[in-house]
Amino acid sequence: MSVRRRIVHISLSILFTILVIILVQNSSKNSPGHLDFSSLKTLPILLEGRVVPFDTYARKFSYTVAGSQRPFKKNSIEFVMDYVKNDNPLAENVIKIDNHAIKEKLGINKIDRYTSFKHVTGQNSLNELHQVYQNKTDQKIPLTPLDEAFGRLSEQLNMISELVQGTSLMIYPAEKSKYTNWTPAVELEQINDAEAQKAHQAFQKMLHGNYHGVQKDLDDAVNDLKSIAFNRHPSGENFKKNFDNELIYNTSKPFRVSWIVYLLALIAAVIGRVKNKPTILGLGLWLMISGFVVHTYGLILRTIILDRPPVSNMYESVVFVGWAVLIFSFILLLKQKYKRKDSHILLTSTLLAATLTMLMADLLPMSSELGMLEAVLRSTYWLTIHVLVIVASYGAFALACALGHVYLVNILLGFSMKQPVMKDISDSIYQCIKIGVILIGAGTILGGVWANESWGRFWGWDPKETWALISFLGYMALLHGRKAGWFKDFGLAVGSLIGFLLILMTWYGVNFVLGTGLHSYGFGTGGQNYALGFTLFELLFLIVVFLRMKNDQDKASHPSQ
Amino acid sequence: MTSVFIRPLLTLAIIFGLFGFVRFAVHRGFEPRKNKLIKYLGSLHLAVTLLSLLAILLSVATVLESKHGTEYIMRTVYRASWFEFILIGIWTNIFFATVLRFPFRRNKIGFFLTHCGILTILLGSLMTRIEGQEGTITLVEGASSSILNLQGNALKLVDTSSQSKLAGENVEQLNLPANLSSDSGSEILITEYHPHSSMSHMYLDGDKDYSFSEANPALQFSIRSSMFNLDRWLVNQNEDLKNPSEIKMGPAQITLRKVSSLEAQNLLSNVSESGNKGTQSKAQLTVSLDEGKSIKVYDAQDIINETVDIGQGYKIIVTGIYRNAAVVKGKGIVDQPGPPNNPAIVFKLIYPSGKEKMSVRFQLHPEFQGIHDENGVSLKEPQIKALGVAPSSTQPATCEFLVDERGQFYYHITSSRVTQAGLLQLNKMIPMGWNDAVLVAKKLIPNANVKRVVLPKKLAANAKSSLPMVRVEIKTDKGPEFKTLLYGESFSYSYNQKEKQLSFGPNGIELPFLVQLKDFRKIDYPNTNRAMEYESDVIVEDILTPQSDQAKKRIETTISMNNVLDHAGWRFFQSSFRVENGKEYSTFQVARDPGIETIYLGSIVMVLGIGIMFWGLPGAREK
Repeated sequence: MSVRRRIVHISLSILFTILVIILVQNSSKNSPGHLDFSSLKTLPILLEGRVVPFDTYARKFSYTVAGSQRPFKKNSIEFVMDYVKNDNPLAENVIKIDNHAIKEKLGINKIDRYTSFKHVTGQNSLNELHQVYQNKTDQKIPLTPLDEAFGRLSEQLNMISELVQGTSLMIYPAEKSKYTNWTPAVELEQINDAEAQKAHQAFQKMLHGNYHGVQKDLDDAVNDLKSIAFNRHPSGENFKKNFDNELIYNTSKPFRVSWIVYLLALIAAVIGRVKNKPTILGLGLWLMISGFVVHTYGLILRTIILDRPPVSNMYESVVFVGWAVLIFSFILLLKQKYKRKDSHILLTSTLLAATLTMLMADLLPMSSELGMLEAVLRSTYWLTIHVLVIVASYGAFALACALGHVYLVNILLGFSMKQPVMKDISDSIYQCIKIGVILIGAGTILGGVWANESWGRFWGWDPKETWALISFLGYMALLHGRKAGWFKDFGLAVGSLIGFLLILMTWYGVNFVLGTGLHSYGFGTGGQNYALGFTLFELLFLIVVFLRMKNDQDKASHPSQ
Repeated sequence: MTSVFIRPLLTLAIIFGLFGFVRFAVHRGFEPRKNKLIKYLGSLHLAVTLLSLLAILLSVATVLESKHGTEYIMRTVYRASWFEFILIGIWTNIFFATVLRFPFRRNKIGFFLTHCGILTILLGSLMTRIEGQEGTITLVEGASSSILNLQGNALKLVDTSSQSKLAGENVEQLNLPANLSSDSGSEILITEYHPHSSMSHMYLDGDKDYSFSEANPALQFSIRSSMFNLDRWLVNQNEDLKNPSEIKMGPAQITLRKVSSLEAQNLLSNVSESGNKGTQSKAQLTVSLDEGKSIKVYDAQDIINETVDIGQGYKIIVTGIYRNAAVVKGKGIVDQPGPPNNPAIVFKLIYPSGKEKMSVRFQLHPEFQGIHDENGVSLKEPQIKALGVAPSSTQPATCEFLVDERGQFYYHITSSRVTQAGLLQLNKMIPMGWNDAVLVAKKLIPNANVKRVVLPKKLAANAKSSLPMVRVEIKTDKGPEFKTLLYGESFSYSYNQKEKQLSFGPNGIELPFLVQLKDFRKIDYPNTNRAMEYESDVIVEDILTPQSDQAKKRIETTISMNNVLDHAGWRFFQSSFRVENGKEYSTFQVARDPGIETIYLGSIVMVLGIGIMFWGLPGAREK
């Protein structure tokens, strides 16, 4: 491949990536006819125990209440500031409700997408829904979609009432200490302290500026509030620096960008393969690399913002698995085992796994918020070592699974197992499983060491531990069976699929299906249908492959037909 | 500190020694591959079978755990002794698989290390399983303790005179029936243990010759009504229950009491006198048109079916007076027989506009007034109340059963309106005056013999827990004794002229030090309820025994999440906390794990081995 062509590939992929970034960024564009709220974006405010820029709060508010970070063609801050400016905000139709059952209960027209606080709280059925929800959550009875819809609604109502009352606008550090509580704007007036009074006046001025559309008042007031908060808090300077990172993270949405770019790369790789155009295939490779750069950048941003590795909840682990898939793919690519013309196989598998994981992370209802750690996880050192290693092993197994799919699809397409490309795939599967096995083994042991340091025992048959062991045993059985010669490449491909189902159980099932044990900080509900769907799809796929195999064998043994 | 390395190194040395021996034997001409048994024990076939079996077993166990709870699965699977056989089976398989590879070349070193590592890990975990101890200490702020509560429930035998412990055993771990091992032979046989039990009682006729002061009368009765059903025993004494002679049912109280026959007769005559005196006053309606400032009173009997002008254009027609009103479907309001539980007056209210509305006023529920029309709009309406339809008082509802020295039972029932008393006869229905409740005595025992019945019970994971039980057979000086002990109970007896006490309770052991909780803190993230850290300030102090010559040690430290305390071979962890009656309790997990270093060493060897097996020795090129 000539240098010139490579330069074209690189510049094209960078161009595409930038295009995607610009398209995704659309949500934070200012709208005409509004004040410029850019100074307000970095106003510090305490949100769920973490000091965040106001931009993060506004995004959470508009996403929770109105279901979008750009509702009604306004950006989040404009939406929030317009909302508080309203003479009667509670009567505004801003609460987005999707569930038809709850709409019916609350007397909302099916075609109406939004309703108001006033309407919802005026309904007698709200009380009844609350009772049912409360009972079910107290007794840990599984929730129906209606209950879940009510859960979301009550969160929406909470956010609104706290904003309207001013209790959620915690903008003033109560003490000059690191873990200080913050005082909500509405309580500032009662504090007998010159600085608090100053903050109170500044806040009033800010509201005034917003209400009357006086840009200067707003900016002055916001700057006053900022300097008060930053000066009072011992980590003020750090916040200031970090807020820029958080704003970049908020606006650029690196993980969304990366899956879109991966998807483009996947399309390029498939087209390149089908049309047999190595040029397009090369473009796919470079697109994958630029997607990876954005992906990595996102992870680094998240790490800097939270000051810890991003592996503490389901969302973060999914994002990290996607990243690990890429890393292992690069390792395999660099080993140059592939002849150039077959590199599309590895490319396709990697992009398949990466796109799917990142798509899941972005689109499934997982909490992607930047959150604080549970007490038991507050050991950055062990969190980094144990979880990174374990999650990396999931990545290796995910890649093995994707390669396994490509292998089996090729068989369905009539490839012979003896073809060199098939040997190559099988070899890659084997490499991935080897990496995965050593990582999950070491990671589980490291988890035991951490458990010994934090829960008092190395091994306690906690479901998560047990399932990590089951996965390990499963892959062990696979490797031993292969060693014994009971099956070869085809068996390894099938095993990589089944093994990944075990990983899925360890990774997701323990927390979301079994729901017991000490790894409870990751517990949750939702997504069961997707997981079940995936499992059924995999099993069905395997059955189809086996039927095809049997058919081929029959043909081979009866050549006369 | 050197002691830390002894076990792991010794374990590894033993494993290497064993293989050294095999190597030596191979050198002398022994061919393991020709031995059929070794070949089978070390076969890949067995390996994959064991691995898959274990994987399936474990996955089933985790599913069962989510259904039946962690404690159940620990007892039946993970901590069960049969589980060890699986581990031993895997150990044997790996050992002989390695033996089969002898003599091996340099390229098998990864394989060798991996499998030696796993053998070491398994031996280490065996040490943990056999010798390790894990328990909890829960302390309220300010309290101290040296007792570590282990998993399980223990039977303990103590010599009462010397207070010395003769025997103790965790019943959960025993294969029953088993003897409670003690120096003085097997005088106690444990026949049954159940983690959950249900307790009930049987009331049998006791001794016919008894003194009244020691009699233990018992009575079974039922109360049936449209709102509740009750079928219970009352008894004077029952050692298992706090107040066996009393039942509280909302504001009503049901009791059993011993009285002299004279007292009983007095009560009966008093009640019948006062009962006859019943003050039946006139049924009246009071009307106020100015929110209670001035009141007009009408005798309902006098104006029945007449149209009466009550002022401001309002008119009423009284249509019915009911001593005991009830709403019957299809009939509207009717008068029911029985005590006057629900006196009411029904009337038609005619508004100045000419609109008419049927209305009812209940004497006992004056607040029950129609103040809204059909559309929910509140109406301007005169205040009307019903009075004096039937006698009423404010006495609380009680039902007292009395027994006299002749074994005669009486009842004495009061309600807000009536008081009644009489002889209690079997299976006779007595309307109680508590709405429509009817009392029936089902069994009357002047002197009962209370027998306790304890039965094992199956429990769902999230059901309220009940007490564990154990059944034992004890040799005593009076002959063999069969006893059922519930958790927390004990039994005293004498055997071979020695006073002994057998108790069933927590499986605790004495630690050589005292732990005191000074302060517990839950620190939250700012302005949230989400915990950032749990911290306990503790003082750990060695208990000096006459034998120990070491200096007394005192440690004052803070235990928090991810920050443990190691003391005298024990490790303390912050496990959980709870707040009860405003006091903070902190629970520590306290464990001793003699196998941990061995497991660590084995793990390092195993991971190294896997690495070498997969990718070769560093520096050495593949192929």
